Amino acid sequence: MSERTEKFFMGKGRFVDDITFPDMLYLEIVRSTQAHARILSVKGGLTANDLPLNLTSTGESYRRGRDYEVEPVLAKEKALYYGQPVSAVYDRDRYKAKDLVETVEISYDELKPVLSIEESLNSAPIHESRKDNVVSKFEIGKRFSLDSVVKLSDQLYIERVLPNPLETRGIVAYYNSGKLNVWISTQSVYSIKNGLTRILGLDPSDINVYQADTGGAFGSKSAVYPEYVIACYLSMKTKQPVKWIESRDEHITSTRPGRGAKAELQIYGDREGRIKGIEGKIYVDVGAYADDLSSTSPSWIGYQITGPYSIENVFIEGYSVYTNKAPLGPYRGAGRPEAAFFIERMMDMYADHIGMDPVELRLKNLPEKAFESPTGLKLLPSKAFFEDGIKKIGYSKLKKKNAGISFGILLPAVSGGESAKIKVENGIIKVWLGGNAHWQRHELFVKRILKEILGIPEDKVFLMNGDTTELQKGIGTWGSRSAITAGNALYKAALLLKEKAQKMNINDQENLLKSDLSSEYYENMQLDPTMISFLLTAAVAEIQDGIKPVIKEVWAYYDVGEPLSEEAVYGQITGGLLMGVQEVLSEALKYDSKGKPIPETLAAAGIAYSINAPKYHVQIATFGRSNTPHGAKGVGEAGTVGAPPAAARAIENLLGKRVNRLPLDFDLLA
Amino acid sequence: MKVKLNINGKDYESEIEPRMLLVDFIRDVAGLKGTHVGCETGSCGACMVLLDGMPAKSCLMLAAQAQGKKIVTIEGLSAGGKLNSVQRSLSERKALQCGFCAAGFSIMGTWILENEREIDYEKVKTDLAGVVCRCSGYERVIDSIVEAAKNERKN
Repeated sequence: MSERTEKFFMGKGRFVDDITFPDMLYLEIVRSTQAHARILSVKGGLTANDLPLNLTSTGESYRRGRDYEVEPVLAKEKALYYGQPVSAVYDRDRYKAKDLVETVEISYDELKPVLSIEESLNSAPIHESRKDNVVSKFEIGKRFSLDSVVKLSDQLYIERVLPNPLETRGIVAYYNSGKLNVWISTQSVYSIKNGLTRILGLDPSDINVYQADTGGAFGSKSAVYPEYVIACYLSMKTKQPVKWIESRDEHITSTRPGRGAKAELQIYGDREGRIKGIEGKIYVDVGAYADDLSSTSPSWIGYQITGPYSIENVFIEGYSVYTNKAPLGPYRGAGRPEAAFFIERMMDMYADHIGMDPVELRLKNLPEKAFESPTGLKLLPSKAFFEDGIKKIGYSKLKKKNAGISFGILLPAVSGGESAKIKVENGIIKVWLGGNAHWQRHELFVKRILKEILGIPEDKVFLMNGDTTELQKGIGTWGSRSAITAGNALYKAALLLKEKAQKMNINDQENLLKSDLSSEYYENMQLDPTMISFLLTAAVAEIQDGIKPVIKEVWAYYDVGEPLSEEAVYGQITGGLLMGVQEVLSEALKYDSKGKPIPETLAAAGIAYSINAPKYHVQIATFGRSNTPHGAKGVGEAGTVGAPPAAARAIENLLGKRVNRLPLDFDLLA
Repeated sequence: MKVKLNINGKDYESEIEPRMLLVDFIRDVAGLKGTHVGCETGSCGACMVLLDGMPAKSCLMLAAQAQGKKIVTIEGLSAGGKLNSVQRSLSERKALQCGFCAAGFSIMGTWILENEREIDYEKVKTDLAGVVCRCSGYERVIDSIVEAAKNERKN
């Protein structure tokens, strides 16, 4: 079993829907068919009135003294988005449980839905206890005034996008002998455990969370959702195992999508291509309810709005606003692609205005020495990296085609650090990481680190699924953090194990594998400029079938620090690039005038199929090691940061029309 | 109603509701969990099986419709615990990430090897157009199937 995915080919994966117990109840959710309405009555199923008060879904993160509205588990007086859970039904038979959904009667008094950032700012508050629809306001950087020769402004917009992992969300909850056991498809058993413990008022020792094999996530599987709380509550009440598996249409209406961001930006510069300042407003549509992540999103985008450039003056006002749409969550990149699209589209506009080559303009604005932006972002000088990359991708030839290029940075979400545990058992080594992999190939760096430090052959090392009974504390996998944070924790856990072995006079791997040694390590970490990757992306666009713009080829020259596994890094890059390209061409979650999501199937959400894949030219680069023992940087979100601005520019060149919205507006094709 | 389905050479007889989908029969009656439900609308291919040798999406048909046909699921491709050549190639090239799509690409790849003549990158790319991989960007998946075809021709 040298290759972990072999079990998937044998049909022996254990995804959450593969887990069954005798007498299991299938839970189904009855959802609002209105985006904004007063609920007059609910007849049938388990309703908000049946639940203990204060059962809320607190989202991915939770802050005491929060000043935003969190999602209730079931809507009570008002439904605030299409697809919001209103009632719950269950049966031992899966088909019958689905039939029961049809028996629940909900009557509504329809209200006008608030469906855009503009409407949100100009409408009565959807939460009646609030004075307006603004969730939070931020000021980032410092006010400035400049008399620059060149002053350019534009409005940029990125539509909402669904994570759409191939496996939807799902949970099995089983309250048994005073303990709540949860099997779940997730990016973090810790985020789930902490959330459920708090919401259900349990003692942390009375809840165990086990990660099932997880069929992709892209940000959607870290939050504690209403359905999880209901499944646990129902199991605690009935003492029976309860399973809830999301259908694809529920994913489309009710899983937290990402993006939904707008910028009104103004840049200042001189005629020679030296950018002097950037100012403007950034808005994020957080949907009907908020959490820490969504409410602070404008500030996180504003923090990195300068990209890799040394821009001396920055002032951004950020607003997150409520709308009658599903609550916003993270989608691969979570703020990073927004910032990159905004600044890079302005850089191209500037280059065009003064008639300078966009690459020359970009190179001119890179910092010569270590730079701290007015928002507090600290960057290392990167000119050598980008100059090198420009040569390596053959920019002089690309220039003659309908090409676009982007310079980017990837800020890994290292804060909080990570944990790791190593256990020798029956001649093999088992590893648990606080960030729970869904086979983004974490096992490859795990094997590499243990080989390097302990000399253990790769086929003796197994990365286990997340399990709160084995490793008590952890954070999660997201934000391009795992190689850096989990890699660091594992590296140090391996050194600890080595030390223990040496004390017992175990000096070779054969005897180590016969032992029953184990070690565990947790370390908090802070973002350090050495951990930030630089990204150079290029794309070439063409017209297909005489009408449709497509991206034919993509180049990526990405700094990954010390590459722990080129294979793992390669797949992460190409996967991210395709998602990034598709976000430009077609992938989006749009809503109709009543607030109902327009796509009804996975295909209609505009995801990429094999025929949409461009030709990839990926070069993995090392521009210095990160300040960690193993030297890795992040990579998971690189493609979704780099590809959209490059692809947008390529299409702009192809069509001869400005691209300032994602996905492409059909009007551009007219 | 009573149906008898032949899956991977074995008969499974059961009393079912007429509306039961083939994918639910495979997973819940036969207990073969390698066939997955990804989208319920034929958009993703995670539920693919071979039906009398032809690729079919088992979420789009009733179990009863498959009576009398030979059904092969992903479990049926690795007879005797050995991966078939397409699966081995996908596995060795580490083409998949999350693994939820394994049935789709294994079944479709196997069909391509058995039925297509000139197997090259573009051919495979087109043939795979009904199977979704959300993780990899497809390149390594396509390469793996092309390589498996090359190796087959050599042998």
